[in-house]
Amino acid sequence: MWWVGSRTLDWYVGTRATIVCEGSSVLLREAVDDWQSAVRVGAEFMSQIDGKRLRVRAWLSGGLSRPFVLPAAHGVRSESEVQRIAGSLVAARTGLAADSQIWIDGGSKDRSVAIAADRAAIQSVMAVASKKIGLKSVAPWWSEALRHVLATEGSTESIAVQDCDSLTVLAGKSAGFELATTYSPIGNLEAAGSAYARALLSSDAEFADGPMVWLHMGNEVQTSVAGLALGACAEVLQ
Amino acid sequence: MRALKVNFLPKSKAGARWSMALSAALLCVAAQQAWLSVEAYKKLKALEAEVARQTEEREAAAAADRIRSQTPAAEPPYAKDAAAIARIASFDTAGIFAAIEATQVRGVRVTQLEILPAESVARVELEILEPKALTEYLEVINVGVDTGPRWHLVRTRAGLGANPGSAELVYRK
Repeated sequence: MWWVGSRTLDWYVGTRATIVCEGSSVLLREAVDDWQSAVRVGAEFMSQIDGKRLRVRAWLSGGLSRPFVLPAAHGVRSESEVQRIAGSLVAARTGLAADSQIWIDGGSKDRSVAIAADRAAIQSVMAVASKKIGLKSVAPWWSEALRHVLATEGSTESIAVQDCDSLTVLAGKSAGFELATTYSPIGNLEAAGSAYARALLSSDAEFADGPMVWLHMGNEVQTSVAGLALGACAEVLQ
Repeated sequence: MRALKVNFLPKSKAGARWSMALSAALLCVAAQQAWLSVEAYKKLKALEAEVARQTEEREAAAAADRIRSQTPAAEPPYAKDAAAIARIASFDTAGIFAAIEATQVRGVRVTQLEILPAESVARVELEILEPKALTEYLEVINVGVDTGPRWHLVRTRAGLGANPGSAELVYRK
């Protein structure tokens, strides 16, 4: 098995920063000007790590991967038709290019959530894979934050995830999603908090306040979040 | 809300290779099973043909036996001699001697004994001093004989004057 004896790293790729962590250890945390620089710096750093083959989980910032609610389309039967409908909504709902790569959650028939991601950024990240660097996954870091909160708290009706370039807000009752949006760029934490509150208030439904998961770019965090990828740079605010 | 299992990576090439390898392995197994089935079928057909052949041979042999049993076989040249030897061997010469010796009746005396095993016959001539003793002698010499050869009275001659009478017994079936 090729992964025996390999090291697992978490690599964050954003439009303002790149971070490499191994478990609770921060190996690299660097501010960049754009995602292309983030890919370049991160790839260069990882290729110089001696020793074992690397298994890398790549995490995209909210600015590069944005969710939106995909309403139920009655009468739509094929997956390709759903993809086409989602593609037509990307630019209006997320601000990303219409040819963005789309991932659609098929878990709920009524309120599906779709994720649009910068296609060029994904392809650049995938191109980093080599004999030394094996990519295990490429996913939004906010989806990892959602997983962590649900795993530790059981359930939540809302969550906000702030990283280097955006604030992603998700809300929904039971297992569905009724609110899924990304605000980018976002300023400081105070601005992010205001945006979170505003998003919940402007929604048709009322949602209970949920946590905010914050990915730090500096050394502000004194303690790490166990069980969360890049948790050494993160904080969960209730 | 629920966790979203997002991954923008296409299905892994390694996974595809494993799938192809597994599919290839399954195809090989299926092909081997098919080949084994064909071989088993061939063997079954061969066994059936062998059974049919042996059944046919047995039936032919049984038919030949039936034909032979209906056709009398030619007598071999030594048959008469063999039959004569068998008659001689089966004739109870010792028994005849023992019976003659054991039969002691007052008034009867054995005057001549002739044994012919080839003819399965024995003859004895008796001198009869007392006529009534002949009946007793015949009863005694045939004691214990229910079936098979026995002594038969074939001739009697009464005595004249002082001369005794005579009788001839023959031992046969």
